[in-house]
Amino acid sequence: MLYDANHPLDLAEALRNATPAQRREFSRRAALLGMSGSVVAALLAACGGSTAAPTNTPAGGTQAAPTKGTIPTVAVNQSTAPAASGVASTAGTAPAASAATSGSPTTAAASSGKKPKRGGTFITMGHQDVPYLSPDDAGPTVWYVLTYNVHEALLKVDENFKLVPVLAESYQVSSDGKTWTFKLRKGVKFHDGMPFTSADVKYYYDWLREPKNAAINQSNFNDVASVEAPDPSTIIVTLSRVFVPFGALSATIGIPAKHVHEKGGETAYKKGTPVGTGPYKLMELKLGDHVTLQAFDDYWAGRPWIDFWRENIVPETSVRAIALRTGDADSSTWPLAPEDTLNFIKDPKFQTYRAPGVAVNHFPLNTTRPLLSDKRVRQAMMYAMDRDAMVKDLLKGLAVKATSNLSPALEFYYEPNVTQYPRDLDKAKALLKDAGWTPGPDGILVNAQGQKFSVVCIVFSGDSLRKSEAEIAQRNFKEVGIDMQLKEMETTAALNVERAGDYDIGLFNWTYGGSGGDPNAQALYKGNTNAWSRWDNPDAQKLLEAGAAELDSEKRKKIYSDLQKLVAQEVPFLYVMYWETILFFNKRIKGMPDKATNPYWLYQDFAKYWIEEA
Amino acid sequence: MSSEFVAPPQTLAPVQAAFRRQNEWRRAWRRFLRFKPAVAGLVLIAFIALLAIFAPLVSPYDPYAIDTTTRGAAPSLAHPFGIDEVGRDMLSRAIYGSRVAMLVGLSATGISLIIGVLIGATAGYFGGFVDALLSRIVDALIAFPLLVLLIAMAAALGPSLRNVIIIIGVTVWGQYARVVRAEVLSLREREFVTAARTVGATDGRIIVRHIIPNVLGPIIVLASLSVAGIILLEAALSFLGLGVQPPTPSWGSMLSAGRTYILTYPHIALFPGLAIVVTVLGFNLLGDGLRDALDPRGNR
Amino acid sequence: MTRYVILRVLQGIVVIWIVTLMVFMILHLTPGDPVDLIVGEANMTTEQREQIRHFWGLDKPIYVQYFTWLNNVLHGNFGESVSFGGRPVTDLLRAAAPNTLKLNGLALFFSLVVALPVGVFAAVKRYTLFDGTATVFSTLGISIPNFWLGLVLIILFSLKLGWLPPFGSNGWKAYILPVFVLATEQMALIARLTRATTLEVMNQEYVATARAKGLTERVVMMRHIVRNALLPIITVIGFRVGVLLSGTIVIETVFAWPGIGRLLFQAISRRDYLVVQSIVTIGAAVVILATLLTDIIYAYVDPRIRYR
Repeated sequence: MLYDANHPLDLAEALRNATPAQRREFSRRAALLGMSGSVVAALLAACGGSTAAPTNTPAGGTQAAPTKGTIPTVAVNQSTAPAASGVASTAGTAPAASAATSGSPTTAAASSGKKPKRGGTFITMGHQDVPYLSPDDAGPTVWYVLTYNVHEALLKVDENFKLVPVLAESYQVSSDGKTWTFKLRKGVKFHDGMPFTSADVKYYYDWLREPKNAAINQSNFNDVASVEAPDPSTIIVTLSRVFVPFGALSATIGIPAKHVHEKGGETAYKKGTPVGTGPYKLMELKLGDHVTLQAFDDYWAGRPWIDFWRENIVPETSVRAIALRTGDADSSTWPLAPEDTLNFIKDPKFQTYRAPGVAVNHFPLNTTRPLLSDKRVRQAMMYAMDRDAMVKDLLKGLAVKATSNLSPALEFYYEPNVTQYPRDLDKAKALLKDAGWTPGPDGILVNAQGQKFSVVCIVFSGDSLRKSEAEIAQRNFKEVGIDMQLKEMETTAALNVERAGDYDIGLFNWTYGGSGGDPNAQALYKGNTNAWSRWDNPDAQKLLEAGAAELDSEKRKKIYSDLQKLVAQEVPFLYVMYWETILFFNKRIKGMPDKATNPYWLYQDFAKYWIEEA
Repeated sequence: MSSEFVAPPQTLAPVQAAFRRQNEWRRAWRRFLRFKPAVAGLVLIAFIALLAIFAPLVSPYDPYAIDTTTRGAAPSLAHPFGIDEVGRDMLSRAIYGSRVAMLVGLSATGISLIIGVLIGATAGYFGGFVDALLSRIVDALIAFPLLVLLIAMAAALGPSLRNVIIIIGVTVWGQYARVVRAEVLSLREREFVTAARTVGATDGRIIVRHIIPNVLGPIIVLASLSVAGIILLEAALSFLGLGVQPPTPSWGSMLSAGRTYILTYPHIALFPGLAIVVTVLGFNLLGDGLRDALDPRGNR
Repeated sequence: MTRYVILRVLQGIVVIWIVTLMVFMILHLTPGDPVDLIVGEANMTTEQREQIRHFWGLDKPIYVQYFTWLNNVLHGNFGESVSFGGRPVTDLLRAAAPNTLKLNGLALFFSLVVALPVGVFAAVKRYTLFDGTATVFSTLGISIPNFWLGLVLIILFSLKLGWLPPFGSNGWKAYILPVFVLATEQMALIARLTRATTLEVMNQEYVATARAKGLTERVVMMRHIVRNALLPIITVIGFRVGVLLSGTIVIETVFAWPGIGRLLFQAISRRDYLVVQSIVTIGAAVVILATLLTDIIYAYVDPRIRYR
């Protein structure tokens, strides 16, 4: 089965090997297909440079010529323009092809017709320290956006959750689903000038899956049997059993340079300067203050327009909002308060991207606790909660009510036809009565053994939004006689007791399927460290097994649809809503797309954008 | 915020000297009444204390009642302090918040006072190895960054009203121990103590009956200032999310929630902040008044 | 004197050792494990999680962890930070300490420059309008929660007026707000203390004697009153060093100031044991050293004090 169905033509490869006549032919066909003239021109112009320098990639843009940034190349690019930047970072392979087939320009830049400019500094803000930039971490988005501007992976999940090749030019999955063959892009350089080859990939994948290295990402390589590099531009990964999410979860992990990483191992890599192939390289990492990246001149898809990419560390939510308003920053990687967010959405100075997130805001329930082990009790809690108030009043409508474990952002796999839980106190009371709970003298439910229905919900300390949410739920539950106490705990401590199963109820957002656009819900696997609810349901386990091993996407869709129905029926956790991912960019950043269903991806696409002061 | 916890010893010296004479008390009270800011402080504290005691009677609304649709509404006639981030009346919550402030301020001061006086008296009275050991522990406690100790202990015990009181109480007694120890060292050899010893009084009895009453003056001054400091500490702990648990209203946690919304709903942070300032100011003025009143040379 | 200093140093070492025990005990009694931060959202099996704990030595018995760390510290190695991916703790301290020192140094400098004259003047002109105003402001100064003041000032000067940057430590403008907020509290404290000690000195017999000798009020003031009144300021400075850590945790968080206080708070909440242990131990050592120096300086400056 050919997995790059979305990318039928390897344009770059075709163009690189093309004769001038063939190129003209391509140009004509592209025009017929509706591809904008400038895109083609840019492709061709870039190719002109690259034929002289086979080690550079075709769309290499400004730096494609053998001597760095020779004037003709630059000139050509600037005159041919916005599309050059559009094509530059996507390397003119798949995305350009999809542009050709869909007949519409992929970027706003292409439609706005403005000229990109070189220079300037993009400033975003994060809420916590960025200690290092290594692909082997599970850090928050605040780290991720930096790490993945420095490193690139074989594949990536694009702004619309589509899996697209990056360091791979194409890839194939064998018909039994167990062998993944990646053809690597040629002419890619690391930041230190060394070439990127299959040896780097093999080294890093082997390192990740070696248990004694205690890699954070090792579980994504659990099912990998071997990694082979038959030649410098081919990587063959053999799986011990079919694991469809390998593409979205594993092949999207960034590749550091082997010669740097193997020298001192991961610890030394984290301490030193990271070396990847990304559009930006690390310039300065000032702990607790900021991280600055600098454009990489020899980036395979062309030097980024914006010279510096900076993330300031600003822990205070309100201070981040102030900085956006005063123009001290262009964007905030970490969300703001809903009201601030609403104001910025209205603000014409900012380009807004919003889409439902993939992590569900939920109250994990410890289903091994006798009080919460009864399905009827959990359903009653769903009926008791005023989730509409939470969405409408607390999140100010910047969220989508959850129906089960999967987010509507995963348009293909999302199943709307599941058991629904509108607020219904009578139903809730009836279910609780069924389960043997009747109101005591103080209104709190009591069971036959005289036990009170009293549970404790752990809230992260300093998490004011979710604290409010818990306070609302507390009042809601009280109306049906459930006493829920709140307890603030620091995140680390809270996650620790929750992992250990030493809690009743928690409250946070977690992904139960949807990472990388794949519906695989690892946090529902029995025995997973993140199986917060400790939900022991054989049917669910069967569905999860089947889903990860199913190659046919329609059949797969059916499996995950059944899973969502099961989750909605059994309520292993109280799913509340999907917060929208809402990002703002100061409009001085040009060349950004009009919309994105996976907005965080925009931070990884900066090689395309440029800055124009108003 | 931790600054008041190690009062420079020399400012207390005159007070200490004065309270070896019992008849100073009445004169002190008259001096106190003449010092207007201190009276103002006393009035402020009395006001806050009354609010705390009669909170259910004076609160216009139930401080726990939620109407989510009003989230963050600005101050109005019906809600003079506005509505908080969940949809509750801020004035009622601020009034109930005084309970936490007073309770934590007074109880934690009480606990630290008892521990400090006992340890200080023991160290000073017995001297030698006991003194050396206890003094080093006091040194370590004072050298330990206070907020760190509080944060770590709050995390260890789990945050709750009771734990906040205990945590603060058992961490800030070092100052009392130091003052009392120094005082006892000088008292130990004085006539009435030697006299008591010759008639066969036990050590415990001597400490309780003779030594402690004699160090009461400086302790009262320290304690009134320390209530102010402790209210600030509670606020700081709650600000960092380690204080009294929701939905119990506490000024610190209200302020902490308000800081997220400082741009959109500034009143959420403003009013609890003001409440803290007023109360702490009250205790500081009182402490100043007491210090001046109990110092015989500051005759006014 | 030498004997006294040696004794004090020995005592100090004992105190530091007690502090290390305290911090170690408290931290390990606290629920939580740094591994939960490391693994973040990564999905893994329990065995894989254990491997990570093993990698960081978190599976060793507590006393082994303690003595390993103590031994390393004695050799000048504070260990590696778990939450910073194995970065040496010394690196973190080196990055953060200058920021905290700059902030506090400036705050202390400005508060001394303002508070000393105000305090002395208020005492001399007791019960005048000046004294009253100074007393009101200084009492207010120690009654305002500094994090609240910080937020209010950010709204005013960054948001409403747009004069000053709301956060960070770049450029002199960024220093104004945090230095001002820190200085407010200290200024108030120092002014109060200076006023109190000046008043006390003014009542001393030697001042009366000096006056009786017929010295001019100016000479009495400068030579006898101010000089002696300023002595306790040495204590205050020593004391400020002591609260440096605690006092700046919250302010550094509000202003996103990359100093020791914020590092410490983060390290506590991430259970980054070695970082917390190291900062607290160093902090305690600094406090003890500062107290010792204060006492020695006192002995030299104030002829009335003599040590065994």
